[in-house]
Amino acid sequence: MPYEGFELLKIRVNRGVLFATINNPPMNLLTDELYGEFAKLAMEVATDDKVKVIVFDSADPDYFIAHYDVSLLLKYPDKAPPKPTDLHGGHQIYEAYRTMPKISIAKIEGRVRGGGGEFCLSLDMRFGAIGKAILGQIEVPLGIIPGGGGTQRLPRLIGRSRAMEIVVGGMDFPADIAEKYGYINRALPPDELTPFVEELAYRIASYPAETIALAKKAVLLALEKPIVEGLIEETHLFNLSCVSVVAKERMSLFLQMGGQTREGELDIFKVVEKYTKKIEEK
Amino acid sequence: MEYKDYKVFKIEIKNAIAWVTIDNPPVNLINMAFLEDMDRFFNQVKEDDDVKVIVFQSADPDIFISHFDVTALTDFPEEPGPAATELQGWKKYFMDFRTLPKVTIAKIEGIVGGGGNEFALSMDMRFGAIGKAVFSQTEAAVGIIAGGGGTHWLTRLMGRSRALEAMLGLLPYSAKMAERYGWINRALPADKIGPFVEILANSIAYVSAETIAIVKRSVVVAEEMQRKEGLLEEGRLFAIAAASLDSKGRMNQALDSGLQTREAELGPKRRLEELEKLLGDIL
Repeated sequence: MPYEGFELLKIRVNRGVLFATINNPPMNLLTDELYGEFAKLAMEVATDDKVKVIVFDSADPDYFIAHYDVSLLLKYPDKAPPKPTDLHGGHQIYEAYRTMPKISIAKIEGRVRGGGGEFCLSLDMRFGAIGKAILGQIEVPLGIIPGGGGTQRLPRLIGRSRAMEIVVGGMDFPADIAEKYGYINRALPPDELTPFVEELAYRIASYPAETIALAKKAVLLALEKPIVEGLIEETHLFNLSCVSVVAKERMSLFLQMGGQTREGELDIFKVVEKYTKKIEEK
Repeated sequence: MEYKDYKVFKIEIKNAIAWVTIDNPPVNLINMAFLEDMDRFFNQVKEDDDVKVIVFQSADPDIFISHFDVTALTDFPEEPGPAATELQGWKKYFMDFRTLPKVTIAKIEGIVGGGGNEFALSMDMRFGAIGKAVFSQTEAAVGIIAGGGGTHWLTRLMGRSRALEAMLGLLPYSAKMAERYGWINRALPADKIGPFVEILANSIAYVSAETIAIVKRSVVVAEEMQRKEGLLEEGRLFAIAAASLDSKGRMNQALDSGLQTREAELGPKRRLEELEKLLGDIL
């Protein structure tokens, strides 16, 4: 039985979506134990072909993740170790989520700061509840800097100036401002957040796993390659997607069930739903 | 230059602006006729010194461009073949607009998805009509990926997280949401988008062709070069622009008509009030 032995993550899988609810009272501190469970989950989900989307949320109504355990940081020696040449353990876990051929989503309904915010930044998407979600990097007020990828991921996501404001300002960013800055994808009213995220997650899980993997790979390349080189890579990934049997089946159904007709194109998502149902029935 | 015998484009040139109306019934599909017109138009307009701005719009009141012709995609062979080393085919047409020394604008007043959206993304600017424009990038639903530059444009325009949501979430995006995501420049009221784009295109057409080319080149440089290299290149382009006789003429003319006096410097405020009379409170 997969996903056994988790203490701090409550896990359930439904229709291709794995829901992981963080439950580490009293405030969902990012402890080494919680880190360990993020790592264990990344490893186990990597080999689970049934799961295409991972949604993280919190059992605590006020905290998504408070931040990294500061008492552990105080145990640092007085002298810095030599400059590393490899990613540290935490980075490796976060990078596993960023690069895995599955989609990861944070559904944020409470406070998430410091290392917790950095965990969310390593996921593919973030959504926040208006009036409840609060994001921030609180390292600089403590005399340290974000060390879980925040300084590298924030500027790439929202630009140098807003990243600087978040990192050195040490302030709280409520969901609506976070959306304006691009820190989260969308801010939604609290009662609409869960239905929205579930709808999105189940939709994604209804597409072929190989298509999700190719699309994600192409997006990651856009941030790593110069533009022309990246476009050429995209063409190759596109060709790989077009030759697949699942794609040919879906495209044929699309044409049979009203795609490329005037009527069908006005509500293309209805056509998609129709053939998706047909594929699921098989 | 005359633009004749196009199959699905209707082209009208007015005050250095090429207004290209896409008319490919029944759903403004990107098919061979569209791509042939695109190729012809690109090759003709790139040699046309009288055109500074290109605006694409649709003759269909509901659809800007539906998407790429799916019947052409199901014919793909079973093997992907070797990885390309050069940009080819329709992607090349789209990408050529990126470096064309003219400004391209998509005025979107209907549905646009898939390859149509990738076409719009390869334009320099996009504007969407509130209540009419609907954006989507839905290739994943049929098991393929956006292959006309979409994975790159979306990621570069709105970041990894929103790009992944758009390409895998299969949600439709209204003009307002598209504006919030950075997908389009602005969402405009349906009755204001026409006048707005017309005013914008004519403003751009006031700029000299050389200056348009240099500014666009500097933006392409910012996309492609490392920061120091890019700033050095910007310096070189600035020197070229400042040295031109046309620029010197324009600067002297502006000084003669009061530039750097208090009265003239208040000009932008007067211009804003003037435009607000025409367009209402949308600027």
